Amino acid sequence: MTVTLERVLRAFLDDPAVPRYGYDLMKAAGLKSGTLYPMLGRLEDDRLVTSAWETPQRDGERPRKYYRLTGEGVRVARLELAHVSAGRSRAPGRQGRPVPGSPG
Amino acid sequence: MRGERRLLRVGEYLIGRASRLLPRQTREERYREWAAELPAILRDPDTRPAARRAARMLRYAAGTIRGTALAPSNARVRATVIVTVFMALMTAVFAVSIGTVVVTNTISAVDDPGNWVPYFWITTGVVNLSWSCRTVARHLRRGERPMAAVRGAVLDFGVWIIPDWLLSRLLRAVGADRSDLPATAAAAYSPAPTPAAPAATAEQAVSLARDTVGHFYRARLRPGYRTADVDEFVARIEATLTADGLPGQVVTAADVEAVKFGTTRRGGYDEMVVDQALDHYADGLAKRALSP
Repeated sequence: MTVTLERVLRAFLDDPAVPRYGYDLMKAAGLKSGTLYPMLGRLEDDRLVTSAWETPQRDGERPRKYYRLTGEGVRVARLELAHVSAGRSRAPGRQGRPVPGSPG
Repeated sequence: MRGERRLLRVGEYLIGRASRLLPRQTREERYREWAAELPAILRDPDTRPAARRAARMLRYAAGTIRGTALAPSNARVRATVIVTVFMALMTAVFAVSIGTVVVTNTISAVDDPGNWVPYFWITTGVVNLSWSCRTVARHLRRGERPMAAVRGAVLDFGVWIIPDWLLSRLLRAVGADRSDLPATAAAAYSPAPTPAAPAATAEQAVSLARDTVGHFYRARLRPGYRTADVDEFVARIEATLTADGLPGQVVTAADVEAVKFGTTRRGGYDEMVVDQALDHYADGLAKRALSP
């Protein structure tokens, strides 16, 4: 899993029930529009994310498109993120240089 | 926010361009989705000041163009083909131009072996070409697509060509590179100048002088002769040669040899080129005076 995908999934999983719009996800994940939207498109194709148009609140306001994880998406995202976290904790830490004067 | 409508129009234009790269069935929906975000970005209360919001909105709109290039669709294939053809053309242009630089400078080096400038450009050109070929080979060896190899080569050419161009302008400005001068004038600048072959007739000398005048060269970073003074004096010589000179305005070979021009710190005519032209004029005027 790429770091960018991980960030998007984490943003969704902050509150999986809340639908998020593109700019909101961009801010939360720290991604550019050119990276985020193709990724959302792929997640939608895999049926991990679903989208819906909002009803405009005021006249003349353009409706926005909201995204949220599907049930399957939530399950897969949690599994994948847990896998990533486990992999990180298992990875051996870098051998640091010994502090001058320390034994060994 | 002031100018909001105009900014929104710019953003919508960029998004429109991005949408055009998408397949027909998703184009309209994507446009509506992205365009709906623009006012929200411009009014985002978390981002301050307003200029930052405007910049963020434009970055968002421009980013959608990049995003559409990554989207899996037929349009992506078309865009990739266009970019590949463009990149290949750019590579060809760069390669031909660097090849030309190497060939012309090799000829110059053969003609004038004492001048260091052609050797410098030959070395630079060969290094450019070999570096770029190495980039292409490295990409291909790694099994990457030819597109990545071409892109790497174009970037390498670009990285080399800009400093090369600036350096060439600098060398010309300080007078080290005189490849754009006529052969007679350029000969005067070689480290060991060879005297120009004397003209056989007055007409030949005048013709050489006029040729050199046509290539007067502004010394941008060195002192040079004041252009107005030189132009006026050359006009007087020409009037004398065409028999239009007024009494008292007629110029003799001795006048040409004795003339002194004012100088400017920058932007004046290159002194050696002017002196070369004046030598030819003096020669022509002297020969005319001797002929019956």
